Amino acid sequence: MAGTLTTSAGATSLRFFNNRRLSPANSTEWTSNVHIRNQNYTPKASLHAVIDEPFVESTTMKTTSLYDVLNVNRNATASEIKSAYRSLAKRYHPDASGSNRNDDRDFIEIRNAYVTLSDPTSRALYDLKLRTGFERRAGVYNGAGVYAGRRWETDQCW
Amino acid sequence: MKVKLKLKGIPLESGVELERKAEQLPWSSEIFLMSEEVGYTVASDSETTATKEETEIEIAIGIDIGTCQCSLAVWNGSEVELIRNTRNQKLMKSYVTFRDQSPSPVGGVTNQLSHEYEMLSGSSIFNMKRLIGRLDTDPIVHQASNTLPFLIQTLGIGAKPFLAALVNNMWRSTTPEEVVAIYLVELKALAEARLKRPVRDVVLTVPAAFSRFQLTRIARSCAMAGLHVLRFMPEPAAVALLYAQQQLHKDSIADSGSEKIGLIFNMGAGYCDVAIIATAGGVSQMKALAGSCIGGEDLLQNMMHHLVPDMDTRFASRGLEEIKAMGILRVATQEAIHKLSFQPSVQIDIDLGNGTRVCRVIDVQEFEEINKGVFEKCASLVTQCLHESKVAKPEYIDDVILVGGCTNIPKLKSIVMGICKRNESYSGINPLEAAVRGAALEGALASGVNDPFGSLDLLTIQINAHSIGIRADGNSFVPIIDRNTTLPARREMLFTTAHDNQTEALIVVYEQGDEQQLLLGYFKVVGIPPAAKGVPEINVCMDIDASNMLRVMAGVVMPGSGTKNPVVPLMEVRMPTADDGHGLCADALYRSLGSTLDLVTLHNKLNA
Repeated sequence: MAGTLTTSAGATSLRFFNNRRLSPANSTEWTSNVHIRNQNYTPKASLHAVIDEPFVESTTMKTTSLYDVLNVNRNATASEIKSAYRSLAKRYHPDASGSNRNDDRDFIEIRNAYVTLSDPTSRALYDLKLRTGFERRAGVYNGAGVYAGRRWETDQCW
Repeated sequence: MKVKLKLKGIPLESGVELERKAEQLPWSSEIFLMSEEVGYTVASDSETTATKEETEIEIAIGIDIGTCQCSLAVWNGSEVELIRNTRNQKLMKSYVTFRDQSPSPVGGVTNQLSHEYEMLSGSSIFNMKRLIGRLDTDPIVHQASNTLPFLIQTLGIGAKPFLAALVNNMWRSTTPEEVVAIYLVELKALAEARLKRPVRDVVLTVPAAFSRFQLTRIARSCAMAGLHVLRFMPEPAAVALLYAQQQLHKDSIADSGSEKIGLIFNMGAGYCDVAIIATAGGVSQMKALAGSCIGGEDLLQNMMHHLVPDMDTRFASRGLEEIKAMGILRVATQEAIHKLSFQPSVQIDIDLGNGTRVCRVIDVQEFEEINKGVFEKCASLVTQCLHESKVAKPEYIDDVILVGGCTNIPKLKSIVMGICKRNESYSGINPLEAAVRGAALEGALASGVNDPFGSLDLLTIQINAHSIGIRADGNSFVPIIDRNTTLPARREMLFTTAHDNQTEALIVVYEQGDEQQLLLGYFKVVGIPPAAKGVPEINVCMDIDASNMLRVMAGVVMPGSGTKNPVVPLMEVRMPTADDGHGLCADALYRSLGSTLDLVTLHNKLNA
């Protein structure tokens, strides 16, 4: 089964989809910057689960779609998205004067959201996924917690 | 240096005080532990008072170490101020003179040259920015060893070149790091005298072409001089920050609606950088960055070789006569190039001694022909940057910002303006001070200064100038973090073993430079459970934080083994780890290990 290697404010942790952590990660730091999207993974049996991007998963929890990350509406215009990105960068970028400069992570998330939503094609794809994702996920999760075989292929573009 | 400890809201200064307080508190054993941990900082901080520490932030100063000139600037609370030396200069010559009589070498910050020839007598070392962190196989080092009056010996084996200054008719060895450190000590003393406070944190501007290895050398020089590099800033990023501030002043009403695309072209004596930025509301997002080690020094060397074609052999012995002749040639050529920026032709008359006299007229056309290669390289950097920035048409560029001494040269100006299809360049910026002013702004930002009037409501979102990756798929370079990736950045990629029952894998990290790949470091992932090739998953993650520190992490996972745990502890390595002679090291690694510890790319990027 696969895991992802990520960094959290100076400490490394190998995270797994069932949210089991190994490695000597700093536990206080960990809880201080909770990322909701990492909290709700169900164990999966697919060999290709590694492909799954965390934020794709998060769409099942209404809390963090990319639009929520940027704090904009689903039908925001390109310039609204751009200015949302800039104003968030001013708050969360480690170099910005007002930011709490302990964590690069927030800005990386914001940046990732912006990269997807600022490009019309990837935004359309994401919107599609957002809509279909809800229905399908709901069904899958009610089952045995195992994904349909083809699922990873559609998510590969992430 | 400052260590602040707060216990129940009481700021504590020294270990002594801490221990005293600890006696009054019930959890004293724990506090004793803490006081021991911070014990070594006690002595240096003992004079600072509690209130001072609470209220005063040390504002990092901005330093622009140029190949030819240096400058210092600092945020004074309301604006950026350039610091002048005792001779009232804002731009100070970059060189260090080694002398016999004086106790220590002196640099261009304090020293007064009676004539430029003094700098060219072999006792002064300059052009350090082009030499630092380069190996003796580097063509830049070879050119320098042929054309500079001091001694640079190269063996061409991938090790550090030997550098020496002439003191009392004796070649005395030194290193580029030492020379830069001596210079920085002078800058530091100057800043401390002007600001009347100790100076430790600095923001240094660096060329985009600088490798991570070169950055570590500069950081080492800073450490030798007692300075701490808070941020390295590519010169265009510093200029972008200054531009963002100017735009913020200009259109404070129309905030984020009007995004401006700027092209920054920076060429000084040593390096050329190009960047495309998109600026709105005080935020400059860098879209593309490119750089190369070409500059005024190349124009000068080409011109010298044109005037004295046999100069490399003629001056090879570096006797006193040769050094003197080299100095004369250099000064005369420099003057000629300067004049050619303003007049159509120039008369050159140089007496090189031994009856050799160079006497001729050179016109602009000839000068441009001699330096065709340099101009072509500049043009290709601009086009490359435009292409990578995905700005669809050059017409979309709102401002062309020219900085650096070389942008005075009409040909260079016309090349850049031609590609951008513009007639006028951006005029609001001083081409020689832009970088250092930007660095001082970044110094204030990174030190956490808040300006009540919003003048520091700024940000440059930087990008990575070089791609970083590992060796895999049979000795080829597989990028993990691509160039022009926004920083801070984190990318991961999955690899697998190349052989059956392979239990170890070598992670060799490279940075893709302008022309070559540079070894940053390497480490082994061990304890891979024996399995058929292609089965174990090796996750390699690279992370660059806001201060540009690179960490490489690796872990092994066996799919389908029932356990989701990594089989061995993870590896986390700060890069670069390779030291001087990393060129030799890369060869040795491949020679002795070959493909036995190879990796193969398993999937495409996980989070591209």
